[in-house]
Amino acid sequence: MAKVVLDRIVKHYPGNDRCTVPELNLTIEDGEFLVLVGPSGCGKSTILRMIAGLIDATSGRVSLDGRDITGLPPKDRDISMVFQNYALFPHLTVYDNIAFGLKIRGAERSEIARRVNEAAELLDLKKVLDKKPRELSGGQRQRVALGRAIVRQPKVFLFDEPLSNLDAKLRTQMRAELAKLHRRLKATAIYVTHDQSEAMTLADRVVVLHAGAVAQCDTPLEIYSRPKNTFVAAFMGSPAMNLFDAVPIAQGGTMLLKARDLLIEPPADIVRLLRARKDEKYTLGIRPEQIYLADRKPAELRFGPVLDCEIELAESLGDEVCLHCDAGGLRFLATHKHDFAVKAGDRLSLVFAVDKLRIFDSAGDALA
Amino acid sequence: MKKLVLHLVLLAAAVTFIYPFLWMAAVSVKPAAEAASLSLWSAHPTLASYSAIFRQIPIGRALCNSLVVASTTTASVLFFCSLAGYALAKLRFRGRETLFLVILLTMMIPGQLTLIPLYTLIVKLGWTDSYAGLIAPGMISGLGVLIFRQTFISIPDELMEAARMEGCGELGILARIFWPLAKPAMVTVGIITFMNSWNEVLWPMMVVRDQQMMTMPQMITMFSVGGQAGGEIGVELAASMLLVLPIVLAYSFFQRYFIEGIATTGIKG
Repeated sequence: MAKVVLDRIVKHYPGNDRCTVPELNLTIEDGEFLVLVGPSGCGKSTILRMIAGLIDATSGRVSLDGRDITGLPPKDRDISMVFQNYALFPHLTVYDNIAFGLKIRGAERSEIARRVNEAAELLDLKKVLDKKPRELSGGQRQRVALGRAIVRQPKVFLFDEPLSNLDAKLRTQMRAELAKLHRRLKATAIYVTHDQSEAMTLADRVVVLHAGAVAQCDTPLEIYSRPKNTFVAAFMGSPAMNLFDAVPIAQGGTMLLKARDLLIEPPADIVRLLRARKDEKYTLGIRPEQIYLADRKPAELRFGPVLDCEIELAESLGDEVCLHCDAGGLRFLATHKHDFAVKAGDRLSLVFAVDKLRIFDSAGDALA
Repeated sequence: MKKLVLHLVLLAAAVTFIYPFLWMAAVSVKPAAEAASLSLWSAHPTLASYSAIFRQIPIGRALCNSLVVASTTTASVLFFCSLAGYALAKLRFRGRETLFLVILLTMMIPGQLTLIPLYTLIVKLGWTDSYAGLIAPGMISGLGVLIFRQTFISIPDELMEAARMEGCGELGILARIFWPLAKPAMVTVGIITFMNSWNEVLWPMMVVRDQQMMTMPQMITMFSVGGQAGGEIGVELAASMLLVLPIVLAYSFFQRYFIEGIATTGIKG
């Protein structure tokens, strides 16, 4: 069992006007892969470092399997960490880098050799055990850093943006390797990144952070399809969710939402909420892939009125095209399979999948 | 052509520097009759000057004393200056910058100014004519602290944090990570300290009277100036050769690190 509990954790750096982490409550279950994601400066690395013991929390409690580890130095926490810049010791060979923690802890020489070889086998580092870090490629260095982390068999792994220094191809490769490794080791992992694709692909649960506070904590799919607020909606997904200001209009016994010239009839459950709330302003959110060509819309979904759009820009991503659209001042992004010819200046008829709309109140919180 | 001229100038400069040293080496193995000649060549080379020194003064003992004093001082400077440099570069504590400025300030005070108070202190501690009296004043140096601080600042914090996660304490981090990574700085501080300590004449003259506790430069100065050498220039220069030889050997062995250390410190500083 390796359950990590953060109980009312606060971090305030002296001299700063506001708390980096105002008050955080979070439970990471045994064997869970939790990803902390958020923009730069949202406090995600600070949280990781407080769990590691590299910085002290201003107040609050960190516990591991029910044991309070708040005041313990990093070495007594039974936690490993993989750093953004690998943090390999340049004067030591790969073998000595991996064996470092075991040597410090006074493990038997034969035991060290066995475990290092096991880790090297797992990470395909057997051939480079005698080399120094400077002789390795970025991917190999990252694997050595992983090797150093797993060889001690700690209760918890912490990852601080471990893939951000790799090129795109290697990043995808290493991401898959990390996922496989986690499935094999079944250890609790807390992973910090600002890359949402890493968050979506690796996590059992994603915590989206905003100014040190949890904006949403959910499964990747839930975060993507049902963001709890406009911050999460705008942050997760690439391209981001389209957000429009809208006003409610009562019409013939039902409620409509009007964003510029677009009149949308929300689903019945939302209408009920709109009636009850009586806010003056809302925000409509829709993912770019939930906007369809009017003549190709799927039959099973309900759609809003047809929008005559001018294409301001068409960005081809190979199999997909990202359309920058303008429908009478209502500007949004739509993505579509790139199986038709389109260029800037063309006009297209598009429709919104109404059932997929997210509606946020004036404070930015989702209605349902 | 321009390059040739440049090389000739450099060659002339090199000869100017090296000739006195070579002449000293040559005279030390010449018979007394040839000592006055400026030539580097001797028709009858001899080690008579060296054997004269060993006959007349306990030079072996002085060599031993110098080795003990210079080695201990160097080891101590390396240890304490790197400790201080580590704290000033990587640990956060109140007054860190002020403390660093105070340490820098000590480098600006001329040694002669502290000579008398230091002597009084050593006398009061009863450390005259002892290794403690010779070693204690040089056990830490501002320059050493400065060099280590500047070197350690350039070592990424993440290495320190990684070592901490792996179970190292502060001393472990220093010994296992920072010392090996700061090899050029270690060699630079080591050579500078060893050389200064080895060449020191004034301080040993003040605190040591007992011939058995004298260091090499002190003994050789007294031997040459005090008249024991009988005015024989060959014997005096042979004594000087014995004095400079360990430094020359150490420097040529560590030269690469030394230059690297000086250069790195220059850039970072």
